[in-house]
Amino acid sequence: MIIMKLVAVTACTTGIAHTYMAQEALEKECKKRGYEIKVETQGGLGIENELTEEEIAEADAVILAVSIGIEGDERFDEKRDEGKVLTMDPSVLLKDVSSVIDQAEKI
Amino acid sequence: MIFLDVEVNNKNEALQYLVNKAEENGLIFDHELFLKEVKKREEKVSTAMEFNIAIPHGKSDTVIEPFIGYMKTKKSFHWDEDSPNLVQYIFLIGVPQKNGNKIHLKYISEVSRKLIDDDFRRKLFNCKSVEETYDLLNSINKEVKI
Repeated sequence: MIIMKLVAVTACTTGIAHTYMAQEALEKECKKRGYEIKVETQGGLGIENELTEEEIAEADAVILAVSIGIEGDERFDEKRDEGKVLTMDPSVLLKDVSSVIDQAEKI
Repeated sequence: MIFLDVEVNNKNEALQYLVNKAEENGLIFDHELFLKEVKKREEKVSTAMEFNIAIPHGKSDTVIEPFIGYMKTKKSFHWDEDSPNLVQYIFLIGVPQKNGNKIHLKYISEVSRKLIDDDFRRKLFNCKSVEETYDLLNSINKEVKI
């Protein structure tokens, strides 16, 4: 079984509801599959669990569940060039976390 | 703000009810302004989720303190006309433009997280009184580390 290493950022407009729910949903789904994931949240409580350059470089895929522009977006440029970044609105992620992770597997 | 068995037939009625209550309870200055913000967010992407929950929310200067209000409607209804999602449990969240009281925000984020937990949801949906609901939601407060 391949163990995927994922990183993600969640950020929603109000910075509360979807931001943290998306984080929770991602962590739960990855736990189910035995994958590693670190989720940075940019919300009302500021930036928490910030992703380091190293963590991003080592990741198999990046999930940006965001509905606003995020700080430090440039950190993901390299992964973007490699086609390893998935971007979607956090509420879309919440509706079906499973298929988002499936998509990440295919990258 | 906890409201059970409320009779509303659609999203607009539900939102109107909640924003009016929010103003009555001194959580927001102007319910019309807040309603506008909430509707704007809804139009972008609907906040209806699985499990018959919807989490409409708005960020605005008219919000005095971050708050989360809960309503259980008498009957479930379609949140959006074009989607099969039925909603019966609605959490309205309001956040000031300039991020307010951190403890409140932390609490709201914890409640949001809990909604992903099957066990918690089951307990919440089974609450038969405002007191029971309040106790359950309040128990999250104890988990919030200040």
